[in-house]
Amino acid sequence: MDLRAQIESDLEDILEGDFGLPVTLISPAGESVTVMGQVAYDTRKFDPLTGAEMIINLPVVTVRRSSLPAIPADGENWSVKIPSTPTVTGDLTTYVLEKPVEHGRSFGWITLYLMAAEQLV
Amino acid sequence: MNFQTVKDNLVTILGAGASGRYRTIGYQPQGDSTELTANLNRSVQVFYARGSFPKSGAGIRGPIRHEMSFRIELLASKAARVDLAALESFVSTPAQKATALAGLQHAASLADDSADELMSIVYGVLMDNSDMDLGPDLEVSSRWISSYSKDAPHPRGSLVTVTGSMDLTGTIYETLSGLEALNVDSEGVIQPTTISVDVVNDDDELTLQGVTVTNAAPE
Repeated sequence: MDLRAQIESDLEDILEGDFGLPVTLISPAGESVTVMGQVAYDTRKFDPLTGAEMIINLPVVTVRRSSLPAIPADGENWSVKIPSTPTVTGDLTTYVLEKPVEHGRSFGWITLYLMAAEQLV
Repeated sequence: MNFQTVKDNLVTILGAGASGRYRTIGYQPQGDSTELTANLNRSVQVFYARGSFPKSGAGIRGPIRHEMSFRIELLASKAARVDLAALESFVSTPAQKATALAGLQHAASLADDSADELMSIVYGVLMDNSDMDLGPDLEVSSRWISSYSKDAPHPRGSLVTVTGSMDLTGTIYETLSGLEALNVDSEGVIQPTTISVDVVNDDDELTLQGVTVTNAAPE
């Protein structure tokens, strides 16, 4: 097995193995795809106004690039559904992508920063 | 000092004028209906920022002129808006989902609009003629909102926030309460203080001999 194949195999174990959660992406064309990925619900961040470190609610999803038929590009409107709590069978919450995808052009994985959404009235 | 009462009055005025359109930090509402609390992702907080005390002949022995400046901090946060019903429905077609995503309203612009609306509301509440004195128990003169500044939309977690700061100035007269000596025992409890004056009556002439301050012993 060459190095690239080894990395793909490792990513499959790490991101889509026992700790993976179902992540559903809806593309701007309305096509849905569900893959397994890692979901972190809280993130540490520094408040630029005060300099204080905060734990904030910012779901971050990491999925294997090769599992997706298309990679979200900057400026496109995508929707992402993840479990509301870290359980495979729990309720789902719908978020949208407003920030650029990290590692979007890299080999391996992509990281999605999700933004909350409310019903359009 | 009186500016502390003015600050409390500002919180009360802002809280009473909110009508569910924003939340006033430090204000205890008596209860709001569900319809009135629809926009509680906006908050207002009052800080005493600075004061100046122009020297004058009247102020040497009398009330001191206090030119106060309060900072009113405004915060609005918003999520993106999209047709969630279409995206979450199991019977939606790809075309319906695509239409929903095409109509997405970004959180940054919504938060910016919400902050502008909040500024308009708060300005109206604070500059209303009925509250020109900033409270029933004091007379604040020259009440004026002199400036407002707003920051750029900032992603904070899964929401986008916009902060703004409003400067409110006014003038009030402060009366000094004088020295207040406290008799605090070893356990930090304030005890009553007894002051006695020795007076000598000498040929119908009263002479002040001295002042003795006796601290009551803690029981």
